[in-house]
Amino acid sequence: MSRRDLLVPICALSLALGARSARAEEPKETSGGASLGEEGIDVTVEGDRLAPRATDEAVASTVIKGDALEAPGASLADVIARAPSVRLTRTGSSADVTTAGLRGASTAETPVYLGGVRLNDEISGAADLSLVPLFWLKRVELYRGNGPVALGTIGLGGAISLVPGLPTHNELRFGGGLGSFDQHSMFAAATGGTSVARAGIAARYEGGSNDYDYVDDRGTRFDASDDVTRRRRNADASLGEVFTMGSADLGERGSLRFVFNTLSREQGVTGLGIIPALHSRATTRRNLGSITATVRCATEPDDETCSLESTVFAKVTSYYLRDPELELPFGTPALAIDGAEGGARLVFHAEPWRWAELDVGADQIFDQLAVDPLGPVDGRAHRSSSRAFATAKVTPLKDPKKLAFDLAVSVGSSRTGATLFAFAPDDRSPNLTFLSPEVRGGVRWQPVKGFDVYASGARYVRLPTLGETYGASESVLGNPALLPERGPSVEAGAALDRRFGSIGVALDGTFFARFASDLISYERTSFAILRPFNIGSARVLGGEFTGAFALAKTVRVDGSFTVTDARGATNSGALAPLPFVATYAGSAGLHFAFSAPPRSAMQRATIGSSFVYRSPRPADPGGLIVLPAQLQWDADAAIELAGGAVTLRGRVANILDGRTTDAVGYPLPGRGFYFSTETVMR
Amino acid sequence: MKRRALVLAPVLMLACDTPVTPQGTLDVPEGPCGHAVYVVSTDYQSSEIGVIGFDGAVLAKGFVSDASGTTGLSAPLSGDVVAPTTPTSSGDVVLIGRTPSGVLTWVDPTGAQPIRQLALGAGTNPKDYVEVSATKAYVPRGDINENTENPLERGGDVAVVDLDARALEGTIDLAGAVAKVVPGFVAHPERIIAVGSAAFVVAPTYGPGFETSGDSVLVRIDASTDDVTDVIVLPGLRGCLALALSPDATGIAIACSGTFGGGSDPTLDDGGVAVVDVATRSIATTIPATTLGRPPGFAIAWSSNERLLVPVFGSKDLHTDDALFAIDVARPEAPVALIDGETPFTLGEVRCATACGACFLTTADAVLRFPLDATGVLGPPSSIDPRTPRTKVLSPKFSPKFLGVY
Repeated sequence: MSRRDLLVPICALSLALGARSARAEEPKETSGGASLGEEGIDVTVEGDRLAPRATDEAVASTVIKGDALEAPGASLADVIARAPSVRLTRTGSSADVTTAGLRGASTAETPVYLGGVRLNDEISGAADLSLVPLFWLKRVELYRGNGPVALGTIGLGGAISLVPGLPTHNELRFGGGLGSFDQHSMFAAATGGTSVARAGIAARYEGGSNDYDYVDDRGTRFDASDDVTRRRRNADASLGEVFTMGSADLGERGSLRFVFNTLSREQGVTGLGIIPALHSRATTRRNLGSITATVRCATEPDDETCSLESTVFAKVTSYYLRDPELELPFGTPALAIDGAEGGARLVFHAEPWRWAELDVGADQIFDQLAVDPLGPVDGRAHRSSSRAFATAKVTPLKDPKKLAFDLAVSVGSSRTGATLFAFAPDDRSPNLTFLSPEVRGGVRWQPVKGFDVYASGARYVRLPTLGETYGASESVLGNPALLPERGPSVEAGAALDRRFGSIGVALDGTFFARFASDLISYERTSFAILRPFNIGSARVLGGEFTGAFALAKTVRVDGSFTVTDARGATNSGALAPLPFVATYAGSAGLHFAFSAPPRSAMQRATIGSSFVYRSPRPADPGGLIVLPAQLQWDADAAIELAGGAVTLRGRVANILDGRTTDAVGYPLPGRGFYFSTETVMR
Repeated sequence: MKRRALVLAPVLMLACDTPVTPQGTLDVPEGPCGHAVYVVSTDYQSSEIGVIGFDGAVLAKGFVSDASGTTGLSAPLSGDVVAPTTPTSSGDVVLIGRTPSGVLTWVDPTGAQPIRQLALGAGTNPKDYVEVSATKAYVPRGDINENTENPLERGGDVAVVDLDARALEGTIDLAGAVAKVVPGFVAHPERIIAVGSAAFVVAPTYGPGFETSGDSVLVRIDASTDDVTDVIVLPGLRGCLALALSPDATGIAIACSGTFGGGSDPTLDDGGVAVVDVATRSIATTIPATTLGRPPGFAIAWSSNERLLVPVFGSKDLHTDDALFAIDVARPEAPVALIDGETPFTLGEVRCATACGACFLTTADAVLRFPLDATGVLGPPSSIDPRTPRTKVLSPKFSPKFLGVY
């Protein structure tokens, strides 16, 4: 792995795995545009579509919800793996660092939001998906194209938005799960309220030894005779989490929504499979929350003529690594990383004419990072970012679905500084100011019902993280001279989603191109010292194709295929394949659902199977190390009993027991069996 | 000198933009300096081996590489591969995979035998390899892995390898002997050479956690008994990473980078070059790094019995460049910069084959071959590129870095 990859574990925060049930029940979906909603942004989804997309339909998107979020033992990485253009890098079990990128972008270039709060850290820009609960998650939105401006930066690799949701009934819900590798979980959740105010609280615990077997080749790939099968040690993890959500009406015109999530994970840090660390431990804590207040101009709830929405949000993270035997490559027996982010956003929404919607907003975000190898804090940096943005959506035809144009402009100003500078190349403490203009435009045309043609383009910017600017450790220094990564991207596609009686068909095809310059990459600058520089450029071309077929509500077949040509420029001007990006990827699934008559003992049963394939891909810039193709085949089943009050679920992951890696040196689990049960009392 | 090189079809194919085979075939007759020079090119993430003749002819590109095998938990070679300081007498191309696996790889250039490998213990960071007899080789291991279940794979020693069985036979502990002369510090063996029936290992010493460093040492091992017979302290010299035997086998030159202390700025006070007299086992000459203005790198070579070649580290942070100095041991105060102005950390190893009239230096884009006169004076270099076009295109940082001779 590169040194940049090695930074990722430093930034780990926490949460994942286990039985993730207690799905927030889907509120009745409405058609309409995007608006800042209950957890930062709530993009409503249009109608009863076979392949739902975010209603920001000028960009390619994938929306995952429902049963897919409830499979026992499944992590967020498992859930999004079947979507097109998703590149996952897992370093072990679902409790170990997992990152994702879209369309060839790195994790730093792919912002991930939970309830509207950005999860990417300020060390390397990574967002650790193992810290994201599926629990109480209503929807996962993958903006494979350009992300919404209202969320934040557009992002080179689109954006991943995780939308929590509150159950719609007053209820008590509890359950638990068991699975391979000693995985176990339990939860309890209570939701209550009136038509004026509702709130819920949930607590969850999960743990596991994650001690799966793997083949240690001992580094002798030309000699299989000395290969040994080892069991992972020091891989245990335990996590506790509390989730609180609520909403309330404030008089006739106002409303309030809030979400808070706090979690803590204690785990072993295994290091490389070939030289496992047996004594290293890490503790991760994260607290995040947001409160949104909305005031409508009109008293009628459905009147969206104008509104003012304000959101405040905060995230506090800490990561404490203990490596008493110096088994890990960080060279320190203890390392503490503390991060904090807080901010506020104000958005004015108006529909002055039937054919136009306008949003004008501004936000202010403060970030802070402290790195402490051992003893007093050695590095402390901060950033203050201001941003103003405006979006306009124009629907010139009588039927607004027929033709829509949208344009978004964002201008941000970011000022960074450091009060302690142990990891900077010199003792200066410059205050840096970046101006980061972003623009996005799109068009959607619906020539016939159920068939959309769409296109969009954007210019995105990624600011250097505080770690990249001011340093992350004694051997990974910062570079205050870094410039933001930037570049344009375009995409065009067409989507069909129609029902013909009891048969539903959905097809979607998108072609895209992304270009990036001033990409940040680490280089050796002195003996055992790395520093980041703006030395890279890249272009990514590709096509994404998805399809789904449904027969009544009983049978569903779906699949996807992605072809990607991701290349970075070399000194010679030639273009070389980017590491870890598979040229071809595909997935397919077959699911059956059976509903029993009312008052039957069994209310509903589902059974299904799916697989994900990734072609061989280079693991190094030289293209010499090639990770073998991956094929993961899963199966799951669920039964709802007693009128839906009790649900039993089962899942077999990696049926073929394939032994594979996403990153050299980090073995992934083989076959696993998982079961969960959930009871709801209303 | 005249040399006949038969580069067979598979090797010719390797030179093209095609996947390399697990093992190429290359039949080069042995001359006074050995068969040929092999070049490890790397971007520290993957590695590729090219072979060049002493006359500068490219004999094979991509002879073996990380693309030669399948990737599993590990890469076939890894991005941290070096070649032995001493030419191998067995005729094998030997590769030392340092981190993370710690693996020896023997490649028979003729293709008569398949690639053979030996795991030396993950995390032990083997640094060098020398064949002290037809059946025995020594491998200094710089780091210790306390978690290993096999005591032979603990490291922090000199491993004894049975070349018949291709297996670890034993270990030679240096720590005890070194602790007597540099108390409070632990030896971390680096490079090794064979001189007659003995081997000499250079080892920097570090305190717990590598936070402090002590004087480096040169340790003599009797190859017939595997016993440590002498520990020569190198006063004031720390971070010694390379050594070389003079052509007449009377002197050992040692290059020391000094103390970096976890920072980016080397302390020139602790760096320099020492020449140890093999017969008396005493320091004959010390050349402080301040004479060179920059810390010596990880290589050193003799271009004659009186002249040394020393690459030095530049630093982007200090705005200094890599350079190659020639030093007349009799007049060490007047080093001559043969090459200067190179981007920091692009110059790699330097090797000389005095009997063949050539020295070689790896740079960012090529191997430079310097013709050598009888007095050890280098002529203007010619450039050789041992990398496959494939790797040149794919990774701009993929540079020739280490040199070996078989």
